[in-house]
Amino acid sequence: MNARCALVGVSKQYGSHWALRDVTLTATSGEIVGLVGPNGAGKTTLLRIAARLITEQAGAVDVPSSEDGKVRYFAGERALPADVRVRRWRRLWTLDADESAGRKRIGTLSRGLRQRLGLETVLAQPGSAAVVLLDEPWEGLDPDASAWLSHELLAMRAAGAAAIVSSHRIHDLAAICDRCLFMNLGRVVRHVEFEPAVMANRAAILLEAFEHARTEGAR
Amino acid sequence: MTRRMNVPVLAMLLRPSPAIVVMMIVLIAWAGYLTVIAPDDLRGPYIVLMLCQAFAASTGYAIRARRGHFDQVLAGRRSRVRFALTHVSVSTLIGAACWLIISMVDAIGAGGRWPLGLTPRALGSFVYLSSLAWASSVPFSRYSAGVLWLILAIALAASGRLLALRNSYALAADTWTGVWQAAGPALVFPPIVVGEPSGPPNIVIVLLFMAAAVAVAAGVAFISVYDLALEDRE
Repeated sequence: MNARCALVGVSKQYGSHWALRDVTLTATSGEIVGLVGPNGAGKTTLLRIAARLITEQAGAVDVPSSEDGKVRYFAGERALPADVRVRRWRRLWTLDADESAGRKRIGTLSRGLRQRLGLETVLAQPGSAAVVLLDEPWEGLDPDASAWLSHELLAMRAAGAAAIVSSHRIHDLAAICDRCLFMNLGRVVRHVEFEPAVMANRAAILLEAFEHARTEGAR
Repeated sequence: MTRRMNVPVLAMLLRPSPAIVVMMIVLIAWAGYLTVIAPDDLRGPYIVLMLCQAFAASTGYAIRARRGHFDQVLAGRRSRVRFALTHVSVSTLIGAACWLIISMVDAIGAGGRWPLGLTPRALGSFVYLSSLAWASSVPFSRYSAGVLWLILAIALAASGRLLALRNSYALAADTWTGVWQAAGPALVFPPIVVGEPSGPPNIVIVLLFMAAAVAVAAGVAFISVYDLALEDRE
């Protein structure tokens, strides 16, 4: 498998604070990589560097150009423009009109509905995606929407996309990811890889690794 | 996302407020009324339109960008130059369209005279003001440049310097000293160029277009290198 998304030795500093230090991460075609870590670990910064929205200070980033619509990125429902009407936003991204939304503005929707709307506009685009970058995608979703999201991600993996997904929802992540990186204080401190056929105990393995990662990062 | 999404996304996110649209319609109506009662002098609608354009073109970038509103169109891009050029075009479009309509109304009423809005000096000052308003707002939020420009105009008028600028511009001779005497007021307060019947030296018009190009280049450079770290996030 060739690497669709590769970040090698990436560092990023804000003032005197190192958000990332020498982080290396690759995601290959047909693979879902999980990113787990406490708040402030650097997950969002890493995803935004992979999406070329933030420039790294050191290291190398190799991600396909989005000029042909190959890179999909979603930062969460707060990244949606609250003053735009739902119907117009859906139409803009060539989604079916949601008549139940009427003339509502995005800002008036519940958090879960905004999250679902944002995910739909990113994932349900026509054309195939090469790289999918999602930041806390399960946040605010109800069980049905969570199942829909997991199904979409698995379908994209089957179609050959490389996905990097950051989340605190260990159980949801465990059900779909092929391997998982644990971050703390801007570093990758642990790495867990799953056997594809083995689904049992994945969440427990991730939770245990998360505990270790927290203590390793604090040291 | 693909480059073809630049225009629809920016047109939606940067669309002018209803107040600005109404104001521009009123200006066109005023210009139409003036062509009936005083067709020789439409400076009023042009000058007020310049004030409106200072707000309309001041669409802002950085605040929206840090909130993630442009993420979907910018993710994965190696260059943001095309996006930035679309941003300035969409931001200045409504004012430019209104300027063109008023110029056409002016042409209809002028009976063969070339409309003021399409003279090089008026075009130069309008393009300069539009570019400056857009570029000044890029690091900030919407209307920031319009508000700054309004404060500047009020401060100049209150201190009596606006009159001094106008006199300096109007009395500038066609010499190098005169060029600087005219260029300063034209760059600080571009409506003077439209309001004064006397034309400036050609070099001043060239300076206005060059200053507009510099402003656009600065705005494009800012958008190209600005790190989009999310606001209010971990």
